Amino acid sequence: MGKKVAKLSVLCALSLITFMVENLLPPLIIPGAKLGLGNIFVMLTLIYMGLPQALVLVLAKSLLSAIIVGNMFSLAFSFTAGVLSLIVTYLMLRFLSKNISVLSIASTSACCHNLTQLCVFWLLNANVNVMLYAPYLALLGLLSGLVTGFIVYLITKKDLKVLVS
Amino acid sequence: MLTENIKKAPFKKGDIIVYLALIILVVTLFLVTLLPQREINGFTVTVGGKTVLYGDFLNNSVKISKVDWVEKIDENTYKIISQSGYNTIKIDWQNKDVVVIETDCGISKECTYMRLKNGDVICVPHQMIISRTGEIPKPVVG
Repeated sequence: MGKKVAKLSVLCALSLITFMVENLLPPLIIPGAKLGLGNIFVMLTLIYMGLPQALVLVLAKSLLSAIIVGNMFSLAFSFTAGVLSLIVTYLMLRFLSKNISVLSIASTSACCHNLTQLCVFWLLNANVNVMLYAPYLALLGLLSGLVTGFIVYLITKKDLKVLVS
Repeated sequence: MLTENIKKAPFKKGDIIVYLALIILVVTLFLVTLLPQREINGFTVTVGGKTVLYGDFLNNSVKISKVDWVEKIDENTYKIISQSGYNTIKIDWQNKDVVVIETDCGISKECTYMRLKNGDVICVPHQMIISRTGEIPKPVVG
């Protein structure tokens, strides 16, 4: 039990570190767009530890990143989008991983994440014009998912003892 | 079992269907949101869903509807003050554009990279949105 908590804490810390580093960089093509490297650790948690632990990581990551950035309002977007994309990832991994690769799962999850954030912002601000960013965010999700998915594939292939045990 | 499925190959046959579906989604979104051309005649600035300021590009005029939330710096520059911080906007009347030139919304200050002529300017931490409008915004009472 203690080992699980320690492993989860390390994955959460790594996820937060990548989030902070990405925040320091200028926006990726479109304002608000990020590569989402922190999601690598969410996927690894889901693959190696299971859905409940991954949910805990998403919650911890959303809460702590909102506190670090100093904007609790972003918690609404990041948590909702994180949970929804996590469920999509889980379902695809559970039922489709025989026929599709982790890269396409990551791309779908990233698209889902970005569009959910946009929808939440639209609902909270009653401004439909924000949907003008939808195609760019969907495209960026597709491309960034390729990167994060490939990294997850490489890590899984290595069968790192620290993750497997 | 799961890791065994993942480790088999970086790409599988089923990826074609997934990526095709995603590409169709992206293209559809582009067609739906970008094809209808909108003429920009004015803009509104909202904070938390409430209109604080609106501008008319045809007459080069600005009306402030929430006086306590807006500080006029000069004819083209206004400071929008929300509960969580501020955004200073600059109006380019000639090019019908509005940009955020200064803000305290966080480390990356993404709203300063957005341009109204390319879409709404959004500051998520401050819930501020600058929206372009085809019709001249009507005065907001109250």
